[in-house]
Amino acid sequence: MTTPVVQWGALAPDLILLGGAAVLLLVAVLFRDRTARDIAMLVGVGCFVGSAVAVTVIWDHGDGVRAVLDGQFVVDRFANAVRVIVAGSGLLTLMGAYGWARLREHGPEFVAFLLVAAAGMDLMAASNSFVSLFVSLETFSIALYALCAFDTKSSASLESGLKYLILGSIGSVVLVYGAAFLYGATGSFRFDEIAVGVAAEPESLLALAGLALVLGGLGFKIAVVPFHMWTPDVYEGAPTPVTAFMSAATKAAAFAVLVRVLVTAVPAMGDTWKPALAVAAIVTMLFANVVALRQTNVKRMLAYSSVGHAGYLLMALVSGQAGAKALLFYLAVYAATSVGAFTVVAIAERETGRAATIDSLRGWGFSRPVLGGALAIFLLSLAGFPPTAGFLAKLYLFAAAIDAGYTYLALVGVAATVISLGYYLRVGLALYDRRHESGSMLPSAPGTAWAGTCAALAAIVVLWLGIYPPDVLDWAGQAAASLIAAP
Amino acid sequence: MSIATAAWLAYAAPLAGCVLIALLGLGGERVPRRAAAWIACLAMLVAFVFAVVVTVQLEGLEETSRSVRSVAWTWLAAGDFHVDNSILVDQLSAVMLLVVTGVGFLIHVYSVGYMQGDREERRYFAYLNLFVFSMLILVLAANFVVLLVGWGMVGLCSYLLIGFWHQRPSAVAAAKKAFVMNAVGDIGMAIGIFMIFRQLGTVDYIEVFAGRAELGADTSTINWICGLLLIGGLAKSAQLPLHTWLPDAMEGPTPVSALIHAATMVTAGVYLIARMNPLYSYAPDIQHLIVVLGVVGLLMAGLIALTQTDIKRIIAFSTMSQIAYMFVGVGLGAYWTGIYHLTTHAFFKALLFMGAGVVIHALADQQDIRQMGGLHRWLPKTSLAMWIGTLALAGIFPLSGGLSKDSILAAGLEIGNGWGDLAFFGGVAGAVLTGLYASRLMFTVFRGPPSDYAAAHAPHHTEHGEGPRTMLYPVFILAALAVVAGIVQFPGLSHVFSSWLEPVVYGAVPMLEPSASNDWIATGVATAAGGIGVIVAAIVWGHGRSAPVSFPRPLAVLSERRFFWDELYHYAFYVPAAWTAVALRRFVERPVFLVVPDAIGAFALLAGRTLAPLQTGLVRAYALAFALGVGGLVLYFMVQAA
Amino acid sequence: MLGDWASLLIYLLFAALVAGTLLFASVALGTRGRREGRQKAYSFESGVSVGSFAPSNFSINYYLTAMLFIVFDIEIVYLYPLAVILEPLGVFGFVELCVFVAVLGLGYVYIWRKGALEWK
Repeated sequence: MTTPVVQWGALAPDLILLGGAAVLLLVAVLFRDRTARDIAMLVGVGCFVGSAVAVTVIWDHGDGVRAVLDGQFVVDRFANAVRVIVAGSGLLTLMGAYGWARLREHGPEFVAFLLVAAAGMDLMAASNSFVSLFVSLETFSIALYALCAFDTKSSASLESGLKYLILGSIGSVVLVYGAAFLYGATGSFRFDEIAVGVAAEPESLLALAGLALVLGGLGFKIAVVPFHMWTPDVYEGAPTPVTAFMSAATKAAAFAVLVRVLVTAVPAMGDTWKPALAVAAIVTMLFANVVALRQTNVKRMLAYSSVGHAGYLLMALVSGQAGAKALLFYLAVYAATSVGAFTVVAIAERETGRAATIDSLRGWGFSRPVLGGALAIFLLSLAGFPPTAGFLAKLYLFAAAIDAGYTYLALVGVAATVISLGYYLRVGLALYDRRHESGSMLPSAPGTAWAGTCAALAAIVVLWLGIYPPDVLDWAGQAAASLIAAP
Repeated sequence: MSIATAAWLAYAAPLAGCVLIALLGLGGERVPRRAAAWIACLAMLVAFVFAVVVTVQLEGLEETSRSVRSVAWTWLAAGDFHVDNSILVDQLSAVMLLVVTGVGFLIHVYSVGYMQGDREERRYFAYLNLFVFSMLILVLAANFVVLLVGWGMVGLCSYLLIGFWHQRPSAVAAAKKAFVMNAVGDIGMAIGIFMIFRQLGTVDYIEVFAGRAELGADTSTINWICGLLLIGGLAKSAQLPLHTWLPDAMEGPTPVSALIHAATMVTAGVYLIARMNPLYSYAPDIQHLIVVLGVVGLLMAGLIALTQTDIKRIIAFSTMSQIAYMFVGVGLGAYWTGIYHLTTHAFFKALLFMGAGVVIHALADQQDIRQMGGLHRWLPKTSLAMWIGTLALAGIFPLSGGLSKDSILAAGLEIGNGWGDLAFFGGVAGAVLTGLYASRLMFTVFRGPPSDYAAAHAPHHTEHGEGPRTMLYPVFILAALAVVAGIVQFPGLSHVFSSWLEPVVYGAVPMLEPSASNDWIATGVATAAGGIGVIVAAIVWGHGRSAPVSFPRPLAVLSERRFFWDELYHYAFYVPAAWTAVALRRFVERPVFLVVPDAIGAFALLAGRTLAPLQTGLVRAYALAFALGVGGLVLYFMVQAA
Repeated sequence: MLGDWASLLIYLLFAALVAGTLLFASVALGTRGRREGRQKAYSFESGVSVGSFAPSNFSINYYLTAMLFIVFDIEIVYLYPLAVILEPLGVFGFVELCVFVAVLGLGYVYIWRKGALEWK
C-alpha cells in the first residue's frame, strides 16, 4: 500500500480556517468574555485573510486545475473564486457582528462555527464526488444550524435553528438518496466517472431519478421555489449576523457545486435538466418577488429577495461559460450587498430595540446619514440600478442567458426586476421619509462602530465594482474558464 | 508627463477634494471649519494647473494629431459592444477644461469669503467640487454613455446646490423645477443616444463620427438624432422652450449662480452642439431650428430682463440671452464663435454675478434693486469691476465680450441667405437690448441717491472695506480677463482661437470663418448698437432708481410676466396632468383598483384556505411542500425520459 | 421498456417490503394491551417518561452527557480501520492518527473546561 498523497497547498485555504477553529476552542477555555471575544475576532479575521491570501498564491498552480485527495476534490480557479467570496463574506460578517452583545459571552464559539462553516462551503465548492459533497455540505450545515440557534435566549433564534435543522436534514436525505440512485446507475460517486456512465446511457431512468433528487436536495440549499419555504422563517429568526453570512456564503457555495454537478457529472442529460431549471428560474423569480411585495419585516423581505436572486442565478446554470462568469460576478456582488444590508438592519434593530420593519425605519436615513446612505446603495444594487454593481451583475447575467438562447428567461428576469423595485424602493423611500425626520443626527449606539465600518466598506465595494469592474470580471472569467470550456 | 496622465489628474483632483471633504465629517468638531474651503480650493488649483499642462502639451503637438483618446478601463463589454471609461482630449475639450477649472478655481476662492459662517459650509464645498468633477466628466467624455453620466451628474449637483438652503421652501421648489426640466432634456438625449447605438452599434465618439456619412444618408434619422440631442442641450442651457428653470435657480448661493448657472453648466448645450458638429452639419434643418430658437430666445430674454427687479434674476435672463447668442453661432455652423463667446461670457458673467454677490453681502442679503441705489460711494471697486463686465456684456469694442459677440454676428453676415441675415439683425437688435438692461441694472444699483434700505445697511456692512479679499481678488482677476481675453481673436489681426479649434470641426461643411471686412462691419454695428443701449439707459436711468419709466402697456406686462411661459406650462402640462390624475382616480382607480384588489383578495382568500397552512411556520407543512416539489421534479424527469 | 424500469421497480418493492415488514412486525409481535399496563403503550424515549406535561422543565444534563458520549464513541470507532492499516501507512498514518486524536483531545478539553461534564 502506498502512502496517500495529500495536496497540502491546494487545501491550505481550508486548512487555515479549520486550524483557526481548533485554536479558538483553546481560546474559549483560556480567556473570558471580552478578551476572549477580541482574540477570537483577531484569529477569525486572520484566518479569513489568510485563506484569501492562500488562494491568490495557489491561483495559477497546476494551470488552475488540480485533482486533490484521489479525485475527491478538484481545486480549480472556480473553486478558488468561491473561496474568496466566502472569505470576504466571513470577514464582513465578523466586522458586522463585533458589537453584538451575545459575543461577549460566546465570542470564540461564534467565530469557530463561522470558520468551520466557511471551510465546509469551500470544500463543497471544490467537491468532485457525492461523498465529499455530502460530507462538506453537512460540515457547514451543522455549523449553520448551531449558528442559527446561537442566541439561546431568543425563542425566535431557537425556532429558526430547529426548523433549519429538521428541514435541512430532509434536504440532505433527499440529496443522498439521489446520489445513491446515480451510483446505482453508473457505479460511481465521482462526477467525472458518473459523466462517463451517463453519457453511455443518457436515458437511464435510475440516473434521471437520481439527478432529480440531487437537484431537489441542492435546490433546498440555494432556496429555489418550491424548496424555499424554510428561508423566510429561518432568515427572520436567526441572529442577523448569521443571516448575513448564510445569505451570502451559502448561496455562493451551493450554486458553485450545483454548476459543477451539472457541467461535470450530467452534461449528457442537458436536454432534460435545462428546461427544468428554466421553469424553476421563472417560477422562482416571479413568485419570490411578488410575495416580497407584501412583507413589512425587512429581514423577511430580504429573505424573499434572496430567493428571488436565486431565481436570477438559475439563469446562469443554463448559459454555459458566460453564465458561469456572470454567476461568479453576481455572487461576489450579492455577497457584499447582502452582508452589508443585513448588517445595517442589525444596527437598526439594536438601536430601535425591535425588529426592523418598514415603519420602524421611517426617517432613519436622516438621523444616520452614513448607514442610511449605505442601505440605500445596497437596495439600489439589489434592484439593479447603475452605478451600483447590481446593475452590471444583472446585465451580464441576462446577456449570458440571451446569448445561450434563453431570451425569454432574460425577459422574465427584467419583469421580475421591475416588480422588485416595488419593495426595494419602498424601504428606500421610508428611510428618507421627511415626515419622520427627527431633525438631529443621533450618536451611534455603543458597539456599532465596527458594524458601521462594515456597512461602509460593503457599500464602497458595491460602488467600486459597479464603476470599476474589469479586474473582478477578469477574475470571474478565468475562474469560469477553468470549469467550463468555451463553446 | 503625458497629456492623458495630466488630463486624468485634472479630472481626479476635484473628486479627491470632494471625497476628502466628505471624510472630514468623520473628524467631527475637531476639524477646523475652514478646512473644507481650503481643500476645495486646493483641489481646484491642482486641476487648473494640470489643465494648463494639458493645453501647453497639446499645443506642442502637430496640429493634426492634437486629439488624444485615453481608455482607463472597460466598464461594460458584451460581444462587439463595449463602453469604456475613456476621455478625449482635443482642442475643444482643452478649452472647456481651462474654462471650467480656471473660472471654477476663482469662484471657489470667492466662495471661501462668501460662505464664511454658513453652518453647512462643508456640504457646500463638497457639492461644489463634485460639480466640477461632473462637469469634467461631461467635457472630457469620449463616448456618449460617459457624456450622459456627466450630463446627469451636473444636473444632480445643480439640483443639490440650488436647493442648498433647504430650509427655504422656495429654494426647494426651484431645485425641483430645475431637476424636472433637466430630466426632460436627459430623456431626450438618452433616446437620441439609443438611436445612434441602433444605427451604428457603437457609442464611441470617434466611431460615431466616422460613421457620420452613414447616419447623414437618411435625413429623417439624422434629424431625429440631432433633434433629440438638442432637447438635452436646450434643457441644460436654459433655452427656449425649456428655459423657465433658470431664473428660479437663482435661489442657490450666488457663487453657485456664477459657476453653474452662468459660466459652466448652462453652456453645456453649446459645447454639445459644437462637439457633435460632424452630426449637426448633416442636419441643416435642425441647425436652422437652432438659429431661430436662438434669435427668438435672445430677444425675449433681453426684453424680460428689462423689467425684472431682482438683481440676480436680471443677470440670469442676461445669461439666457447670451447663451442664445452662442446657440445662434453654433447653429450657423460657425462652431468656434459659439465656443469663443462661451469662454468670454464665462469671464464677464461670472464677474457680474460675483459683483452682485458683493452687493448682496453689503446689503444684508437684499436682492431687490429698488432697495439699492447710490452704492458707488460704498463699493467703488466693485462698481468699477461690474462696469467693465457690463460693457463687455453690452458688446462694446474692444472688450472681450464685444469681440466674441461680433464674431457670431459676422458669421451671420458672411452666410447671408436669410438664416444668416436673421441671425445678424436679430443679434444687433439683441445688442441694443443688452446695452439697455445691463446699464439699467448698473445705474439703478450704483447711481443716484441711496434708498432708505441701502442707507441703513450699506455703511454698516462696508466699514471694513467692500468685502473679504478672497471675494474681491477673483472679481478683479475676472475683470482683467474680461478686458483682455478678446486679444486671441481680433478682427483682421489675430485668429488664434478659430485656427486652434479648426481641426475639431469636421462635417459636411467646412469651418466657417468670416472675412476681415465682414468682421469689422459686424464689430462696428454691434458696438454702435450696444452703445446706443447704454446711452439710452444713461438718459432714462442715469439719475438712479427714482427715474420712472413706462413701457407700452402690453410689452410691460409681457416682460414682467416673462412672456407667460410659466403660466403656459402650468396650463399646458400641469393642469391637464392634474385633470388626468383626477379623472384616472375617478374612472379608473376607484372602479378598477378598488374592485380588482377585492377580487384578488377574494381569490387570495380562496387560495389561502388551501395554501395558507403552508407558510404558517409549521415545519411539517414545509416538509410536505418540499416533498411535493421533489416528487414533481422526479416525475418530470421520468416523463421527459419516457 | 420494462428493462428500464426494472431496477427501479425492484428497488421500490424492497423499500416497501422493509417498511411494511417493520410495521407489521410491531403489530404482530407487540404485547400491547390493557393487561400489561399503560407504560408499555408509550414509545421508547431513552428512559425518560413521555407521559408528563411537555412544556415543563427537565434537566438537560442527561442529554448532554449522552450526546457527548455518543460523539466521542463514534469518533473512536474511526480508529479501528486506521489501526488495521497503520503499518502499511507508515509515518504518514501515525501522524494522521496523532492529529486526529489531538483534535479530539482539544474538543475534550473544551467540554471539560466549560463544565459540560459536571452533573448539576
